[in-house]
Amino acid sequence: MVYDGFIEEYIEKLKKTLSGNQEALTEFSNRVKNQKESPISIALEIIKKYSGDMHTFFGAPNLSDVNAGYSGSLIGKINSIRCTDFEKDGKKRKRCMGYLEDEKGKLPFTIFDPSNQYSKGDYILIKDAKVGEFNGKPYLTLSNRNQLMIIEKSKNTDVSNAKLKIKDLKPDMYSLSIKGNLRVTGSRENVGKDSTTMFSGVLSDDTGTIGVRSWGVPLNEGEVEISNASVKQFKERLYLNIGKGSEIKVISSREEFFKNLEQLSSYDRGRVRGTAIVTKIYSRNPVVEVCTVCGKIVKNGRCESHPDSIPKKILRVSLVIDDGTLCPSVFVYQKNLLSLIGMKDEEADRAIEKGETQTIINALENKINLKFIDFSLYGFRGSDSYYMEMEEISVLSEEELNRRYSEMMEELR
Amino acid sequence: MIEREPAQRVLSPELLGIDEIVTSGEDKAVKYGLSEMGLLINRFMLAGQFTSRNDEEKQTVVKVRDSLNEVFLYVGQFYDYSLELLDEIEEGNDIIAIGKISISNNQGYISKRFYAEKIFKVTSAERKYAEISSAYFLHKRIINVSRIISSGIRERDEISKIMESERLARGIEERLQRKGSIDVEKFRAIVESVVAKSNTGNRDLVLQLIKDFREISYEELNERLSEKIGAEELEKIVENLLSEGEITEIKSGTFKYIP
Repeated sequence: MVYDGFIEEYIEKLKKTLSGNQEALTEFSNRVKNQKESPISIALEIIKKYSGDMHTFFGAPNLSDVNAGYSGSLIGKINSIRCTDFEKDGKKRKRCMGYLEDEKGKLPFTIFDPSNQYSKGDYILIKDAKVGEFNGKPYLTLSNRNQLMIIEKSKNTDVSNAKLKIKDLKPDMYSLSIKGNLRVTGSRENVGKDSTTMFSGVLSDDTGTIGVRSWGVPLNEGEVEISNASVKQFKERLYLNIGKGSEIKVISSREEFFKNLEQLSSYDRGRVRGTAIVTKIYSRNPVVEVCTVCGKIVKNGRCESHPDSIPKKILRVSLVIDDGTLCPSVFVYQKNLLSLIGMKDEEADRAIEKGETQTIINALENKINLKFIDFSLYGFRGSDSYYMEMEEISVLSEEELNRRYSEMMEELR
Repeated sequence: MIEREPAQRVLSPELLGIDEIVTSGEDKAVKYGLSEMGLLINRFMLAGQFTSRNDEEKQTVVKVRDSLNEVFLYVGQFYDYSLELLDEIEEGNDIIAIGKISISNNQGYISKRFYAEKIFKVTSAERKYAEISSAYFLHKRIINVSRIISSGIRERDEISKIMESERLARGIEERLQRKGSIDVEKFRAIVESVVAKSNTGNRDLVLQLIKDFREISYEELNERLSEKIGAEELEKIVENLLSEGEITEIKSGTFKYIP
């Protein structure tokens, strides 16, 4: 490899940058002679090693000193960059907007149709920058005709095209898209220097879980696809960072049914579908009167909303059920009770009329007490307690128990 | 009002390994045993076989064995039924016990007793379903606790989202605060052990039945074992026995043991 005069030019620049440090200059010359690395890389390493100033070496001002109208070299690290495609005059074009940053300041820029793939964290040199103005502040507009050079490639990872799972996430990844189940844990107002609302949550997929911090972008629970997010590390812990450019697409919102009784009890109302064991049947007063118009329980023989209707006596018992998360009393009304023991309404009406409900209760106890049941119930928070009413109930058959056993065994294997 | 505590679906090693006390509620009225997996247990449900009963002075103690261990249950102050009902249960019967833990700390020494509230006879299918449900519940907790540990999540609200339960989150948080970590591998081995025992148990049962007959049809196997083994599982066991060379299909759907 033959180097024309620019090695001497580098040595001159290094002399200036490193105040004539002879040891550094000798190291540069020796390494260049080995011809194993490019002279610019060696020069940059040596400047860093001997604490030289990059701006001096490249003849570029600090970004804080750059004003509109400046023309010449600029160096800095790309602090943020976001690229979008657009169409003009029938041609597909690309525009990347971001910030160039050094120790003392930053400068916003737009690059049209970049010839290189630039990433956040790239250290770049622009040899022929012409700084303009936007909203009264310096602004840099560049195109592929400008001389842009990546001096040092970012250690950050652009993962915009990768299909990632949570286990793959690593610090400093950005532009990432990921799918998972998002649960919201809360929000805090006036956080950070921009006084943004920070929403927090937890994202899980089949490979792991990660905390989510969203700056100003509200989070929605459910199966989501998050795009343009980044990964941050704070105190050994990774977070998925969501900012203004990020997008959260809800694929399916939270299910209509809660998964268990404990979950339901922390909300004011809702439905649960699950499996439980019946641990007790309260049957002391199994007959109640209901309004034949609205179906509500009536007191003193009259419905307040429909005083002219004649109430009907029906069966209602309370079951204590336990799904392993809660052990509440649940009201079960005649229709469900009779379906459990295979009895007709007319037979129940006759038993109620004669005051012979004990036979029905006995049949019910034989059928469901200490049995596993599938249930669906509706619950709501009343003025003094949580009220739950059974909507569907069935005892698990031997066949069903065996089927579920096999299913769980299969998964456990 | 104190809420009725749910019966936690547990396997015997988790119950026997309880080594911490957690109190909650007004005047710290509710006491929980905290398991090594971070499960808060006040009441529990254990499925197994009734192994023995011992009527000591004024106190009846029964032993219940699940796939892994034997647990002593005291029949006393919390027992729901008359002791006569207990007489109906014989050694080897499949049972489910719902019980309550009584736990105290005496100068740093944790003392615990398990009291039965209900012990009732169940079918083999019910016992197996209940036991595997406990193993499955443990398995799910292992997955989620591993996630919590690896992701560094330590805040209660975040833990509860992962565990999908405030109660489970409370236990995990307590455990992590008190012990620093949770040995999930130990419990993974327990789940594996339950699965292995269940596999070999049913396999041996099918093989023994085939051995007992000169030849036996699938329908008959299914009929004789339907209370113990589900159709899908039986099909898999027969397939495995065929591929292992233990049995042969002498004509379509009829099997014979190869001596």
